Amino acid sequence: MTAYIAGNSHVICLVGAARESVAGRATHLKAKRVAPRHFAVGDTGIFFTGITKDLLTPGIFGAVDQGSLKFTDQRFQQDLAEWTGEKTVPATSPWGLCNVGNASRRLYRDAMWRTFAPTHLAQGGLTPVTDDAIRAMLESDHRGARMVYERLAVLGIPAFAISGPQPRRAHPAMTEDGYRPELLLHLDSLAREVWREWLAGRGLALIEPPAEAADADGFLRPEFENVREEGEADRIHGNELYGELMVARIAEHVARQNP
Amino acid sequence: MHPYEDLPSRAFWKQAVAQRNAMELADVYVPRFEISRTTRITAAGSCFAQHIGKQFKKRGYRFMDVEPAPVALPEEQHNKFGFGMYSARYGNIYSARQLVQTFARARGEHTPVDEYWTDGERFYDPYRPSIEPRGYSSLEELRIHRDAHLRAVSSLLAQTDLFVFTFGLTEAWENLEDGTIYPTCPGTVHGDFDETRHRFVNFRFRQVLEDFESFIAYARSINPAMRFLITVSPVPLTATASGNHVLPATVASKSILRAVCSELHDTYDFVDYFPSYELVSSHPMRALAYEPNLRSVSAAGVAQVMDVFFSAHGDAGKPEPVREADKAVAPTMPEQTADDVVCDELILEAFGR
Repeated sequence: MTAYIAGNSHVICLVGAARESVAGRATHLKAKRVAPRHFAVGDTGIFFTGITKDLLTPGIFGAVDQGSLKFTDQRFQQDLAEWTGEKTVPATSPWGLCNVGNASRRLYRDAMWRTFAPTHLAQGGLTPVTDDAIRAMLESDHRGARMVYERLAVLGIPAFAISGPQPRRAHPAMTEDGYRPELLLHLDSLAREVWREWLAGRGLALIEPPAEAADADGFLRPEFENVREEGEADRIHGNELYGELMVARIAEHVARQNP
Repeated sequence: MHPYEDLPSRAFWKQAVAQRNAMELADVYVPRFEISRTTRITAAGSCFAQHIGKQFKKRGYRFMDVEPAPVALPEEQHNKFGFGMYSARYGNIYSARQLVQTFARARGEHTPVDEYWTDGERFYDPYRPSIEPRGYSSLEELRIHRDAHLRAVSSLLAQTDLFVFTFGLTEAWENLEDGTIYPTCPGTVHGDFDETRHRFVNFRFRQVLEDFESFIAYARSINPAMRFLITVSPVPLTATASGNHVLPATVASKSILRAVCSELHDTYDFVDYFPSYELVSSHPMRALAYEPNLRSVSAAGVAQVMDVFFSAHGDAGKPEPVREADKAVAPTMPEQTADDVVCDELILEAFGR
């Protein structure tokens, strides 16, 4: 069984991990190359679709016809044909969507936290906000992501969610916006909780980062942080080492679901 | 010659009411003073007052809100958390006594003995039982939110030129020990009713008048130029605890409140009265402004009432499209009508046999 992976920029470390593994440089992952973008971990195939944030809308999943999932995006169909010789994928193949929903960067960095704070952090004139109200904000923020899963459910396509990594110590919410680590950790924890609950309510699995990827405070451990050699510093993403742990988990999940 | 000869047509029932479309009465309200877009407006009262506040905001008036919603909270969630309903998150204030006590608490002059309600897991503010639908996770959290709220309320009157209040009910429940008024009967929305601690009160004319006069005195001690716009909610009682039939109980209650408004209007030249009550519930309207339950005011009724108000103030701006807001909530909240107004006391309907 091959799982198709789409998602935002947090997919990059997953692809990187698979490539590193093929090159024999991985520590925690044994992957083989099947075709460009297509890897095998044991008996499980993992296909990185390249469908990223902008393309990943409910509308891209057009219809299921004679057991095949068709796409509405012509460019993607052509790319797919080029990579696989097919313009569709089997409707029984699961889709893993990475970090679409479990973090809410917009909310973490919102200017409102200059005047509001979760109740336990509301000191120094900050207006307290209950976790219930923050959850309502997160649910609103997750609406778009939910629609993608809902579309897949309508089409009968199996899906699961892949979490992004824990927040990093140099997350821009702290280094650029000046927010306290406690605020970011609290929001992130609520975001993951809201997302986990929503998925669980629909019987959808969530592949979460392993606990060992986080330090005692809950931040991503430094050895799992992606470092850019050029350009703006990366303060968000995990590296290939982190990707290895996640790809192994994804393969394990797909194999378990499709024995 | 006699005094009636030169009176305008609005003074005669036949011309002003009987011969007119009930929804198009002219000159039914003549403002006593101007309300401009620079007037700082604060609103409180029973749930019908939410319509007035919302219209002021949507029409670009300077509506004060000392506890605005966090920007990331979607607008459709504001009412659920008590944001944007009034000028602070005090929820519905049904009686003048409750109004007086709310501001007394804000300035630290009244500390209710009944500090919180709990169901063993969550904690509820007895004086804003619906402001957080699931309550607070701890007593400490409740206190943090309550204190922040009261601080905000204490700053409100200094930023107010016009205080708008809609009188809702004469019936209330009070704490026997210190006389604190609850916005809802303990045990209905949250909390537990205990007849050794809670008592029914049905305020009489003199009490309502004195309470509101004491509020006026306090408010004008903060801002001596403050003016007041008062109305009576046309929404009948959901239930009465008076022992009377709910219809005469409603008429008695509204009559007392209406009489208090006249008394205040006639006594103070800085108090104006807007007849929203008459425009919705008087018999020439034939209940056209009500929903089929003859209690909730329809979107069209609200729009008509607010049109009269703003037209009289020379603002013929397009009224808020309440119908759209109404549609949005109709499927899941059938009891909430016309712009999704939150009425705590509606819970009483669930107890009717």
